[in-house]
Amino acid sequence: MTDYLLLFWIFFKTGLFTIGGGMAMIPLIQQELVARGYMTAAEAVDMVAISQMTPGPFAVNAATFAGYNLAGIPGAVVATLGIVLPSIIICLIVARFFFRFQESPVVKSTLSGIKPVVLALILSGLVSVFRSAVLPELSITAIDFPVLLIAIVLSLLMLKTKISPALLILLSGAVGAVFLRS
Amino acid sequence: MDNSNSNPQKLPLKELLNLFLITFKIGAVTFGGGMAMLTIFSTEFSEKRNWVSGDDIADIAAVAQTLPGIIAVNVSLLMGYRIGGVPAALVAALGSVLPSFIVLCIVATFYSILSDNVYVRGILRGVSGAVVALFVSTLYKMSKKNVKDYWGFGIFIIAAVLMFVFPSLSVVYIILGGALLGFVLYYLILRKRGGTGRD
Repeated sequence: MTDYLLLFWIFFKTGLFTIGGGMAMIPLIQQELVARGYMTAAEAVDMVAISQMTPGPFAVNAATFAGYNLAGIPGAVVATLGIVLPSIIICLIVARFFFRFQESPVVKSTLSGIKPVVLALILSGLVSVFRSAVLPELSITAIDFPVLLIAIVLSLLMLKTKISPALLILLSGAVGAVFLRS
Repeated sequence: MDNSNSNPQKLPLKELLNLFLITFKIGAVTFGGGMAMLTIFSTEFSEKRNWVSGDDIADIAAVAQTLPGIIAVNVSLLMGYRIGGVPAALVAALGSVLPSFIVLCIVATFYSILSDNVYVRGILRGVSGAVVALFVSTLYKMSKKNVKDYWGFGIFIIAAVLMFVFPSLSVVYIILGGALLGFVLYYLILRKRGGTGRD
């Protein structure tokens, strides 16, 4: 029982104290779990790789994976609840007020300053996924051309057509399974 | 939905189920985290169903990014709340988390076998190209909503340069800096001069 409580607390704390999304949470989760002997350093690396390779929010994936490895389904439930609960509590409180003051000049001005930063975050996300997908070896001579082609074609399809992005993701997975086996 | 409507309406059960199915689908197919999800949220919630406006999505993305927690879950919660209050927020959060939970429980069981499989690696390589495209599309869609004038463009450039030059600098400080700059620029300086060129 105390183990479950501790597991819940580790993930709750991680969810509560991280701003800026999943990747920022990973060092925290790793430190806590490895330091307490719940996980070896090698397992922690696997946790990151698998959370990136599976769909869904990165931090939720990492929490479910770590919780499952530690204590099966109950562990997965406890860890996932722990990481999601801070979001739920904080967002429900903020939402109550935010949509009421969304049009107030102070809120609008402040948001006008945050929104360009969010755009910069998206750009930096683009650069990092481009690097790991198209330039996995970080060398201009090792461009993964098939992946680059998929990226360009899909970008155009997403911008110029109304085809569902979800469908396009599934299709690119199918193309990968057929043509990009290695 | 009317922008001035600050009290979200209650959704009928059928619409809640619909919301669950859409967020479940988004959770099941999105690689690349909360920001990559935005473009699908925008397609499903704004373009297809008109549940929220494009400006709402830009506001929600900014707030979700600023609050602690998981950005994708924050986005689901805020979108849900905007559409139908607390019940819809919880339904949207559940929908976007459940696929992760199911998939990861399965993957954790079989992961030593899966990680060496050539088909699995091929699928992941294909999907990694799609993730790049998701970011391109999000960047394009959000650029019009998030940068509306030269001041905004300036903040964008400063933030981007800081992120690339100091990759270890916590994003929290850059967001707080943006908030402060926005308040000082738009509220204290431009508003006093009358007319900001916005809206």
